[in-house]
This record gives sequence, structure tokens and C-alpha cells, in this order.
Amino acid sequence: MTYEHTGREPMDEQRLADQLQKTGNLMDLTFDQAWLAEAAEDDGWIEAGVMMRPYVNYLKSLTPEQNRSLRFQAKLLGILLPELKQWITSWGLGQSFEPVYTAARQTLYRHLKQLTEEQEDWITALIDENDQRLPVEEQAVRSQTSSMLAQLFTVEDWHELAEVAAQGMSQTVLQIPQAVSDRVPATA
Amino acid sequence: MSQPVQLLTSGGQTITGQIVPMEQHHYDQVNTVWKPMLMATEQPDAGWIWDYKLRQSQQEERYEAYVLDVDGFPQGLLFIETQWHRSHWSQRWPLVYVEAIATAPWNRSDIEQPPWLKRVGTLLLLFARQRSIDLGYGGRVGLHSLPGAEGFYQRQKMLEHGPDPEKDDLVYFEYNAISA
Repeated sequence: MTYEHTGREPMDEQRLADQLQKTGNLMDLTFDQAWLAEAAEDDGWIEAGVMMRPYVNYLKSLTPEQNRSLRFQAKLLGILLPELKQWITSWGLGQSFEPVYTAARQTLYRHLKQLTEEQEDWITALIDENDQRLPVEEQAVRSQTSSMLAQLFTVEDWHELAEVAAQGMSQTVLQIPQAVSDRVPATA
Repeated sequence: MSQPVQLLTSGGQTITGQIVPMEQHHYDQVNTVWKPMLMATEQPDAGWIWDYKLRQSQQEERYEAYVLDVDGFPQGLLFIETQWHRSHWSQRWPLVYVEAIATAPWNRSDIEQPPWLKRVGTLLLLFARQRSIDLGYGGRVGLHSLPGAEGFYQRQKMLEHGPDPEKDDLVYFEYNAISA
């Protein structure tokens, strides 16, 4: 395999030194459009470290069909997870947000494995729309995501999420006396 | 610590991501989305010790685990050790050692054409160098490449030290300090 290099390399040492002098942070390079534009080819295989061996073996064993399925699932979650997060944020759960979001993601993963025909059709439409690269505000199918998720979750799921939220709230309230006593100066 | 970064999709769109300390929910997503076929193909799962690495990073200061998060979705992983490893050069400088680095399955062209995101590996490697600078190691980073990935590290201008008999003969690569 041969690689053609054009212009400066992303890890050009002088360039990195210049960047360090300029901002003190190499990662600022990623906001340099010229640096980004030089990404003519993908990185390809990058795995390093003995512990990554099983992962590489796993990837190399996948069939083209399994790869397509992986990619489809990733693309789908790339749309659904931000929508789910935004939706749950709108519930105003405060400290309970994180545990509820975690539980909701698990619930979503579970339901995605057993979709009805109607739900599968909706997901296909969602992906097709996403592939058109329209601005988010113009994505009509995507705008239905929270209603679709609401239908996907069962009564039991909602009870479970409510319980997780309640636990989070309880913990917050129960921590208040300790937090207050920590602020009270000790008296002799 | 959260480090914003920009990436390019294969469609040429610029998107923003974050390199953040790995948390349990990232690990759960990696398990669910990166390797769902394991169950289908009944492959042994014993070698997937990322959860162990995650716990190490939470319990021991010298280990750090990061994920490149785009829209709440992990696109790459980086585990580093920051205190015990030394340069393979005779001066034995301290460095950041990359215990493991990986990109999601769909970010490589021979699995997904075109790949979803470009330069996930480059960004994570750059971040490892930044951590090395933060720690006073000047940008020195070392790692053992898996077979098939050596070309990536050669393109990234890492210095090749040859197969390491202590690491299953994996090829060892190292960056020197960045000098002006």
C-alpha cells in the first residue's frame, strides 16, 4: 500500500510547534479550516495496544451485510440519541436528568430490536430524510421523533423512568441536610 | 476536562465533537452499538476489557480513558498511562503511553465506503500529545501498533522502533518532544 502526501502533514512537527506557541493547545488545530481540508483520505486502521486485538479480530470477521447493519444502526442512533436527549432535557428533571437519560437509552436500545412494520417504515423514512442533508428545522420526519419515542415506550417503561427520576430527586433532597451542615461553622 | 474538536464527515460537512473522560454510558453505548454482532456471531467476548480499563481510569490517577463524543455518540476511544512508561530511546524520558486506541467500525473505508468521519485516529493521537505536553513530557507519546495499522503511524510521522518482543512483537512507535 502506498500513500501520497500532499502539502504539510497533520503531524508536521514545525506546525505543531507553531500551534503551541500560538495558543498553547494542539487541539486548536482542528478548528483550522486548512488543516481540516487536508483530510483527503481517512485514517484507515488505527488500532494500537494488545487489548485492542479482539476488537480488530471482531471487525475483520464481519460480513458486508453485518457492516451495513452496524452502520445503519449507528446512523439511526446518531439521529435518535440527540433527539431523545433534547426531549428529556425539556422535562426539567434537574439532577435526575442523567440517570433518566441513561435508563431511556437502554429502553430505546431494547425496543429497536423488536420494531413493528410501521415503526420500521418510519425509521427508513427518517434515515432517507437524514441522507438528504436538509437543515434540521426542515426535517419533517425527524420532528416526529418524540411522538414516535412516546409510542415506542410502554406503560411499564414510563413507570420505570418515573421511578429512576424519583430516586434521583430523593437523593438530591436527602443530601441537603449534609450539605447545609457542612456549611455551618463548628461551635466550641 | 472536555476538549472541543472539529471533524469532517466524508460528505465534507464540518461537525463539532468533544474529547471527554469516558463514563459508564459511553461504555454501554460502545457495547451496544460498536459490537452488537458479537452476540449474533457468538464470538468470545473475553478480550473486551474496556470496562476494566474504564474502572482503572476511575480508580488510579495514572490511567486516563477518553472518548471522542459526537452528538452523545462515541466515535473513538483512547486509554493512556501517564506515569510509569519511559521512552525506548536510551535517555528513557517519561512519556504518555497509549494503552489502547480505536475508532468506531464505520470510520474506516474498507468497512464503510465512504467512512462516516475522517481523522478520528489523528485527533485522538493529537490529544495524546497534548496530554503529554500538559504533563510536562513535551509531546512524547509511545504505543504498540497492531498489525495492519502501522501505515497509519508511519503517515503520522511517528518514529518506528521495530517489533517489541515483550509485546507479542507488535511494532513500537514513538513521538519525540515537540521542539520549536
